[in-house]
Amino acid sequence: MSELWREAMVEAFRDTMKRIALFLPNLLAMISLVAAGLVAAWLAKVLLLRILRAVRFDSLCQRWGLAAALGKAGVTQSPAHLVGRLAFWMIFLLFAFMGLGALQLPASTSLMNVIFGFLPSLLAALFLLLFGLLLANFFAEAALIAAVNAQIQEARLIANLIRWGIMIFTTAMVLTQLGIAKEIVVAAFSITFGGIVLALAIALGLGGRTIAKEALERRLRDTREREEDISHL
Amino acid sequence: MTLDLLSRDVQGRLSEIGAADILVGVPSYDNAKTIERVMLTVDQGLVECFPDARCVIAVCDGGSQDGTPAIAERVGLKTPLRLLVPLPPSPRTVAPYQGAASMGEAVRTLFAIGAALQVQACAVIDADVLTITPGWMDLLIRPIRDERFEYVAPLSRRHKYDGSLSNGLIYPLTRALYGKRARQAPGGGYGVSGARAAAWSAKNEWEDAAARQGLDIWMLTSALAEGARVCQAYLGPVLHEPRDIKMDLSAQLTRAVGAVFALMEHYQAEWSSVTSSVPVPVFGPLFEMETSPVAINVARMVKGFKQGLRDLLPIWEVALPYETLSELLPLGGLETEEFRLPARLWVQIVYDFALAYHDRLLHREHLLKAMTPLYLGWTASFVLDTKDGGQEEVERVVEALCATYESAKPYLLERWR
Repeated sequence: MSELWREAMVEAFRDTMKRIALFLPNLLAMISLVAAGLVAAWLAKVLLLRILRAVRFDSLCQRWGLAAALGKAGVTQSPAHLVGRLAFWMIFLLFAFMGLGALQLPASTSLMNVIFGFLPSLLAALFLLLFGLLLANFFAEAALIAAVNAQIQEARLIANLIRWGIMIFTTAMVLTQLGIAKEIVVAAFSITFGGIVLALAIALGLGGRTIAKEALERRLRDTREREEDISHL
Repeated sequence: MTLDLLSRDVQGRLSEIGAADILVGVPSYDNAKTIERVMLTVDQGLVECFPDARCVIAVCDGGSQDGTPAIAERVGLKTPLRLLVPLPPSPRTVAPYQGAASMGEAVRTLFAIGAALQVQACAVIDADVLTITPGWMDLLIRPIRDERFEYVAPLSRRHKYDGSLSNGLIYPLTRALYGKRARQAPGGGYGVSGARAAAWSAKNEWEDAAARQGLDIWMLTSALAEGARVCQAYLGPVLHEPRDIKMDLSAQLTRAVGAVFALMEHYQAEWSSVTSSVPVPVFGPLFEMETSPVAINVARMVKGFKQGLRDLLPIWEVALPYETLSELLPLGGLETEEFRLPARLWVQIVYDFALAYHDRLLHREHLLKAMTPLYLGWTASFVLDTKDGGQEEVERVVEALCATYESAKPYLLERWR
């Protein structure tokens, strides 16, 4: 009896030690990958920050209106720092996921497949978001200046409508890219956009005829006034 | 180089002509109504003023759809003087260019023709000018032939408030930068020496923003910055055939001021050492012009300034430092009659915008357009200051403004990197 008990104990111990011996390299690989990730991410961040400072990235962002948009969203860090941090976390997470994969656990392998499968869509969505933000700022600023120069009193309203129109459109595109409730997003966007246009048309047709007429008359009057002006050049 | 700009036909025609003394170029685009009169007057002027010179009249057409080239081809240049003096007939060349937007290309082609003909002097005349007289040829060409000037800029008497952008920004800034008191006016024509025309036609800057947006500004500034001998000629009242398409103020300001700012970057080595200004010689009699009153809506200008202050402040904050903004903000509360934008503040604004343009703090077109309400504010203030005075009062105020630009130049230099 005691012989059987001893054999079972030894077998269990040997089996455990064997499992540990098999798992230890994976664990070490994971730790090494995480550590390497930390170093690589830190190096990439420092290098990227230097490059971005050299090309005056913060000034460029200010010119494109991105810095102001980030400020409005409560982001106090400079765009260069933000990009640096983003790069740090992306590289670190990449190494961390590789580390998880190195453990060769069934759960971690399937998690890795999901994450790496989703990564291209995520990157595309991020670029779409950035592009949309830049586009919204650029056109809103252009519209604001043009409307102010035309002395349209509702200049800021027009600029905000353009900004939010582009942002809503961008958000819909980003969600579609990420595959989040694709059909619902497309339908919601179509209904909302169509609804707004229809509402505006009905509002102008039924309730705003006089306003539209007055606005047109005012514009024509302004044009006549301008024709009498001096030549500036 | 410059022969590459010309078509084979034009080159062949130039070979037939050989060499010439004077070239008068007329860049045209849909000018059927005026081209004949302009060409006949030019021809008359050449025969009257330069009877011994071998002259060429070249029309450079930008694809007119109204038959301008056909009219230019068949204009009978049988001037009385040609009949009296055995001169060779004035040969004409029609070299096509593409549209009004390519005015620079047309002028460059004309300069290339001048270089190919090895002329002593070129004059370029607007094809739509209504007030041209034969005497213009003398005023634009003689200073080059007899006095060895290289660029003759036009000068004309205008209504006291016409050209307020030139008076308030372009002329004083150019004067403070390059140290020459030469005005920039859309004057109907100008003269260029043959050597300068050849040098300019060989330049690669014709596609740059400055040359495309403000050709007159580009030429005058290039001449001043490159140390060319510049003079001015009084051409009298200059009127052009009205066009249906009229550029709005914001677009005019963007083009003209954009050209000046772009040239500041190009010639920064030349202007940074200039500390004072000297007059340039002026030829021709000073014409007194009868001016009819024009309607100026100062209240609308002030309203435009106030709206800019209300809506464009976040954009101005990028371009203007705190000190400038703190002086601007109280102006928003003034009534029209008491509204004044001091000359010193205006000059500081212009220099701050030039610096913002140089440092690319904003998209450049947005930056320049955002300047429009500020310019309206200055114009309103200028009109209110001089409404009871005549031309002399306007000149006195412009002169004082020029002095302010010159005295404030160290502010610009300190911040220009």
